[in-house]
Amino acid sequence: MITLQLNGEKKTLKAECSIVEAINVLQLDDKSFAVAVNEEFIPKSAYADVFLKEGDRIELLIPMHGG
Amino acid sequence: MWQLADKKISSRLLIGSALYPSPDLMKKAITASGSEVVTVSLRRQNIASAKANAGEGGNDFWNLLQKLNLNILPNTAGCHSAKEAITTAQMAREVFGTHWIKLEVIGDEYNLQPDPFATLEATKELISQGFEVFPYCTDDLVLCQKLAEAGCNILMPWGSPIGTGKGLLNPYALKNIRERLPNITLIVDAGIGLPSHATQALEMGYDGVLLNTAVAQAADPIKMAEAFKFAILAGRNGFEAGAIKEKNLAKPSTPTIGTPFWHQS
Repeated sequence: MITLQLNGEKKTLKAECSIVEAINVLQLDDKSFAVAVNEEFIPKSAYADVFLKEGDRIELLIPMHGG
Repeated sequence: MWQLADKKISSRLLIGSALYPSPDLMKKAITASGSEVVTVSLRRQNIASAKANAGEGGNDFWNLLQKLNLNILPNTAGCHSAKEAITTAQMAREVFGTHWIKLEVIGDEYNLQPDPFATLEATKELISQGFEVFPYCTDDLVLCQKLAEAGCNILMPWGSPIGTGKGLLNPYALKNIRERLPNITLIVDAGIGLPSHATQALEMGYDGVLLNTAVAQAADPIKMAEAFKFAILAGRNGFEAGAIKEKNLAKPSTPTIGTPFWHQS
């Protein structure tokens, strides 16, 4: 079991897993989003290769109104 | 037509997509403004209520905006360090599919004044990564010169703090930047409240104006958007037409020769 921060909220996963697996487990359904782990941008092409670890801080951002 | 970065566009108004009373009003106001560049942001998906909030952002918002077929200018609003801004810009490039980035690094929470040092640091890194950086900056000439030296083609000094509607608080500084950086595209960003503020910026030779609140929060956003469209056109035409020099002494415009009732004393 690992605990991490997803958009500032605590989330638990059964084990260390890739970003692709985490997206499925957490049922994130927005099509347009980008991911950063510990303030580092992770391109979509790397989702299968980056494994989330205990204490990781994940930002999952979606398009929003802006000025 | 004029050149903004790698695009040729007609309108000199860049408009925001935030703070409108409804998505429908946003769409209609942006269309009425004639703008071809719209700013957007990235925000955390609210995991607990992602579906309930769909109308407030996310795919619904992005789909609506894409139908308008405009140039997208993502921002890094809310970032407080160069690192945060760089990461946000990288994420925006992937989500929005553009290398344009409106770089905002806030230095003071009270008046949302950009941090000049972090802005310059982030600008250098983002340019090295292939971004077209539109830095939101203060009207400090030396900062603007440093940003231009770093490779910025576009600079966006503030008129006044974001959302205040105070207009151009320091026309002297803005004119000075225009005169000293004649080859840089200059856009007044933030603080615009009235159409006449936008006219003033264009009259002094600024290439464009970026605004959001003045339209979105007006009692009638669609009418205000149209007012800005014409104000910006008026300002640009006024600049291109070449204004007269200001004088202290009055000079009659009606011919003095043949003035009725005139006689030698």
